[in-house]
Amino acid sequence: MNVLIRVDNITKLYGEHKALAGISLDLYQGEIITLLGVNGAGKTTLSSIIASLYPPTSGDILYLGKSIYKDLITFRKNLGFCPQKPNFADGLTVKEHLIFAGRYFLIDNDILIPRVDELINRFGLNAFADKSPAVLSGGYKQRLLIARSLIHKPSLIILDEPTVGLDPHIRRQLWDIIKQLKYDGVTILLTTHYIDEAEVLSDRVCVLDKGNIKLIDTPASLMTSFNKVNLEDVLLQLMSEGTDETNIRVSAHKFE
Amino acid sequence: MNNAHLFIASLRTAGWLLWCDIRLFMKDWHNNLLDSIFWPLVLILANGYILPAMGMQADYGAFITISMLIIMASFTAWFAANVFVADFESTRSIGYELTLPLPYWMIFIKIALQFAFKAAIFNLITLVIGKVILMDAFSFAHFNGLKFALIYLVSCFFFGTFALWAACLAGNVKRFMRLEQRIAGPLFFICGYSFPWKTLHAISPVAGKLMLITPWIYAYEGVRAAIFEQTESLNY
Repeated sequence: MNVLIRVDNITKLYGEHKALAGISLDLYQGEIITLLGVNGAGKTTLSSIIASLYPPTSGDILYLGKSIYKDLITFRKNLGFCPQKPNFADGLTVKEHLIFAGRYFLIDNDILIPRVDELINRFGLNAFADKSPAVLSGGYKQRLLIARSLIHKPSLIILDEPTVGLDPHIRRQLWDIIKQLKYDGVTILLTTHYIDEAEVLSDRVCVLDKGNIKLIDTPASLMTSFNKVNLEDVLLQLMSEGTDETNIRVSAHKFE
Repeated sequence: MNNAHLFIASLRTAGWLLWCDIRLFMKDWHNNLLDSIFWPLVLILANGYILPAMGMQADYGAFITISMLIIMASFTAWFAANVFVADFESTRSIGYELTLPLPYWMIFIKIALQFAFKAAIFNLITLVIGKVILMDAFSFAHFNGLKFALIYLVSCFFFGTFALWAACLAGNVKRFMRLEQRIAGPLFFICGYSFPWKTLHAISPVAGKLMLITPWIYAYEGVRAAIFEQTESLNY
């Protein structure tokens, strides 16, 4: 697998507070990699920096070997970003949101309109196409967010806690959607609090703690090496080990 | 794609974003129009009929009509920025725009233009209100359309940019409100709302010179010069 994104020694300071303390990480084409960690671990900061929402204090992000800051626009044409909270415009319908999203990527009408219809069908939004997103339930809002981020067929999609606060059966439906995206060849960076979600969806998990990477590996390898039956127990053990840098375990496991 | 093509593509994306904002703003035109009516209505009435009865000059209503146009534009941009700051604390819809294929700076120019558009468009009703209430006391005999368009649009762009800058500086609603109460609000009023620059300069030349540092005085005086006679205002 090729490296799609290389995170190269990223730090982020908020005043005196070090939100990220020198993170290096590769994202391989076609994988689902999950950022796990407690509140304040740095998940959203890292995913936001990779999404180019704001720059790091130091370090670089490489997209196919090239710094994204040297060619931000090309990178963003290949990026889909789903923020933690739905951020739809008041006054646009579901369909108009998708149409405008396509316009922002300068997609021609003859391609855009069928693409919008396809996404509306695929995400089960037909009944709400002409309604405001305000009337959608949490699960359908997330579907629309994902659909909007896919309008331009990005190679990387960043999902920031896409299932937080949703009912279990809605979460499962979204898992199916995320799996399908991987099947379509999209690289997915997922942040989540839910360890079961990470276990089911991830090719690799990256555990963050106080702005450091504590561990990166496949869920199966982690369970084997920690001799645990689920990822939650692995994480509990990891968290009980403390956070000093000598405990950091970055596995050589590469996504195959 | 070379840099020129990327730049043009980014401009087109910014254009679509601005068009979406304008469309949403115009969709709610009746409320936006109503928002632009009530303050000018009561203040032009008071300044046009009540204050002259207390000894103020007879044309003070006309003077205040222009003041209302400018201050309403200022405050419309300011309130749009307030919504922007509130959004920053809640859903962060700007987060979506910041991941679109255009440079960071272009998004902020787009937002300033959006504020400027909101400030400019419906507040023009103030001139109509002034004419209806004051009738012959508010004359367009010396109206210069080109001068007016230029100073009004530049002023609104300044108000939009200033409001965005203040919003970014404040970072949250509480600080933004404080900025309004302590600095922006007083500035909007002191810099030419209730008296012409010439009067201030006659009373205190130093205060008059200091006033020239503030951009608002040029908006007030420029619009007055474009609608009334140039002789009473700063040279424009």
